[in-house]
Amino acid sequence: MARQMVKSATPSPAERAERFSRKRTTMLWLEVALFGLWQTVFLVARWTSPHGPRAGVTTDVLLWMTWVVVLLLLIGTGGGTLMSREVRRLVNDEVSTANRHEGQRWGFWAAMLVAIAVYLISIVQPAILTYAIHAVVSFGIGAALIRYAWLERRADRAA
Amino acid sequence: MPGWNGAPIVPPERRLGNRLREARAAAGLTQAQLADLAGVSRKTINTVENRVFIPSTLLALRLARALGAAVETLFFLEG
Repeated sequence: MARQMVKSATPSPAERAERFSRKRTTMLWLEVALFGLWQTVFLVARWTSPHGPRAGVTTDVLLWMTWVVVLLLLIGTGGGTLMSREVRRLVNDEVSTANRHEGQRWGFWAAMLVAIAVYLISIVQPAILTYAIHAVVSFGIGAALIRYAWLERRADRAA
Repeated sequence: MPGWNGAPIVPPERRLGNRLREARAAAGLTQAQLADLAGVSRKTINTVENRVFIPSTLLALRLARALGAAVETLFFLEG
């Protein structure tokens, strides 16, 4: 009897998928805000540094790279890798996958546009390579995240 | 192809209409039950019903099978 009660209290894969999906949407918006804030602080700190903009691997660069890899995994897979296969399949079903792909499309175009802008700017003012790459990657990921989060929120609201 | 807000930009005569909500109600199923039968999330059922999302052929066929209906009775071209 007690065993049955425990079993019935356990959420089904569909319920777990729905909860995870909503949490993921919140997390996506949080990532957008934190990533944007980080970029602003990073760039302002670098450009206002008394030493001027500089290249080189520092702690903040390593942190940024780690964060970028995590976000790329999220944009690339949709997350839920620690969940069961059934829950993961429901979490990343057709709607969410389409939303993620649309986010990737936005990310690609944002990265291309920033790359072109950086290229044009570098003609009149030589750019530091690491900054150029940083800008292309950050804008690409930022655009992908915003679009993915926006579409997921819209789908969650409809449900 | 979706527009800036994700809504598909297609002329009216090429929009995909559906009677999923009516068919589901006629079958006496909730969105969650239909989602279980079709092997998708409830979010997918709702976004299709509300025409926020245009399903693939595969998903349309799965929904039709879950409801025991022909796919062309569930989905149709508008206009």
